[in-house]
Amino acid sequence: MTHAPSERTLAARDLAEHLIHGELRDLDAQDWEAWLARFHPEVEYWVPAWRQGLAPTSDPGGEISLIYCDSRGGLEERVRRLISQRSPASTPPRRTAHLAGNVLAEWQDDGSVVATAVFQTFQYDWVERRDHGFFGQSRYRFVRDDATDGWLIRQKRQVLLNDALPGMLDFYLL
Amino acid sequence: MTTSPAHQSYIDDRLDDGHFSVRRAAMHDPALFDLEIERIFESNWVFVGLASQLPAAHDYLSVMVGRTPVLLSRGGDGQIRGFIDSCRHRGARLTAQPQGNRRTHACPYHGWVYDSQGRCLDVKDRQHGAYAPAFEAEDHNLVEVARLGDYRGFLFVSLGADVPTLDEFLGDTRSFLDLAIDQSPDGLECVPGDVSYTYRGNWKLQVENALDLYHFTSTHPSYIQVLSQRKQRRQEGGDQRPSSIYENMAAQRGAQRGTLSFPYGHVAYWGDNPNAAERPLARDYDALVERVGAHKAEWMLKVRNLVIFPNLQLVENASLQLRILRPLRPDLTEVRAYCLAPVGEDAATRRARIRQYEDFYNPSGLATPDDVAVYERCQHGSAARQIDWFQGYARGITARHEGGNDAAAELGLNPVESVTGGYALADETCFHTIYREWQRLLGLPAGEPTP
Repeated sequence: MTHAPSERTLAARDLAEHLIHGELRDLDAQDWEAWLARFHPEVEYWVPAWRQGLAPTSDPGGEISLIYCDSRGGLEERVRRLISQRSPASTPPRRTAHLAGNVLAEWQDDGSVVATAVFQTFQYDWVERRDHGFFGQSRYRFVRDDATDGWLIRQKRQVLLNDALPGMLDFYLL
Repeated sequence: MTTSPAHQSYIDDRLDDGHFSVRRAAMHDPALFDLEIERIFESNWVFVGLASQLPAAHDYLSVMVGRTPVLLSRGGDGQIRGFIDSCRHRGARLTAQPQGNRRTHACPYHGWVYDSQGRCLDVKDRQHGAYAPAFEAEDHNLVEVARLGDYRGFLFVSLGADVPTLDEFLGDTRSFLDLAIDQSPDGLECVPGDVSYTYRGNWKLQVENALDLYHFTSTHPSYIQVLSQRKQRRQEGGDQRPSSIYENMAAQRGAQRGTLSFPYGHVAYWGDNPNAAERPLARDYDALVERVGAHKAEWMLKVRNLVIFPNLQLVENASLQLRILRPLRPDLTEVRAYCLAPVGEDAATRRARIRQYEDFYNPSGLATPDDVAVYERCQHGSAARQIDWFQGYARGITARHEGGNDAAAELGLNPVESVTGGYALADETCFHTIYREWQRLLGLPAGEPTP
């Protein structure tokens, strides 16, 4: 049985969709500063690996993740590396098209909003003329930022379903 | 140029003239690749996994040895056996998952059933099958691999019977395996989390890379830059992330590095570790010294990369990684990677180890993607047919030493060749023994090549 969603739930979904689409637009525009500004300084950014193919790893302290950052500093490092011109894997960066769908969201008791979505990210290596797509499930937690009267990403977790990696993976390809 | 691979030499081995080289076609020739699969991967010892991946009775592991699916199964009797993972009836692969626990393996097609010791328990509807006596006289059990060997939990399989014993094959590299295994009184475990990747390049590019010091500063400057910025922020009090042994490249450049080459194409590469305190293993160093002795503890903290030819790499700088290589095509290779850690490590140390591991080794980390990118560039560029030979096997020729040296003596080893030098020496002669063994296994003519 499914109840009709409340206005409040629909408002949470609208908000989450807006924030997620904005984040993905920044990635596709390769506007790294704008993208980083969307994250809380203590963001948990997490791409788990899989445990014997059956379930994603659930404990980043005791199991391997594909990417695990527990601060925006970790994301800033990745951005700097990407644009450094000194990383053969990142030079030139690939073109991307990020899609998020099936967004659902709920308010939490602490005033944050937790959203789930399905992602599909296409990448194109225009030098080698090759493309690839990653897809999976995302989970976000957004928190209110009083300083800017806006919203920040406090947690972002992406479970990559097709985890046989063609050479490499980086944040902007998810 | 288009001579069949069986009749030409791919290496130019004239060290007396100060010359060693490998033909670029070694990375590209499809006929040669077929020969590699047949004569190296499907005839010789290859690494297949760790006994700790199948600890209990009826646990199994499903792996590929060359083009051959292999089922490793721990029987009810506790013994690990290896079988060709193929139903005797119509050939279906029996396992549907890379690992699990099964008392019996039933073929999903016609229902033949095998136990965890490979015995055929049931040919479905056998009594109604109007089988001739000839069928009844046949053995329907799973076919065992020719050899399965276990060195302290490191499992190897050979599909060919004409091989040395595993102990003979591994030889002195066992001491290097010991330096990993003995890091805990209870041995090593795989930290959970599957990571595998493919690259569009020849498998030997990965074999070489694990021993290639020369590339580090030119392939990984973005990683080195990240580390130095991280260190600066930590000193300012703003960053609590674990450090890396590569934070201090100046100290690395002052360190001694060396290579030791062993029979059957194995090579160990070692380096003094001026930043050893950053190693998770160093956190309880006194207890380590008490257990294994100061000498062995010191060697455990060194940078050590071990290549057991053809497909096992044990790489240890900040943390410890196990890589299994699998050639798929001349220009496509799969790498499966595991973070190994001492059993019983405390939670904070384990967490730091995992972060260091992900940073450096993950194909989604800050260093390995750049290695992969340069392999693909090598594969692309070296396809140029206008140039026959690489010039990449010449560093260290005047520094090499036949037999052992001081480093070898410290560990009581008898290598075929040894080199020790400064960081910038970046020896390339360690590749020679690999290619000599490669050529021997392929049955290619040795010595000076025909033009």
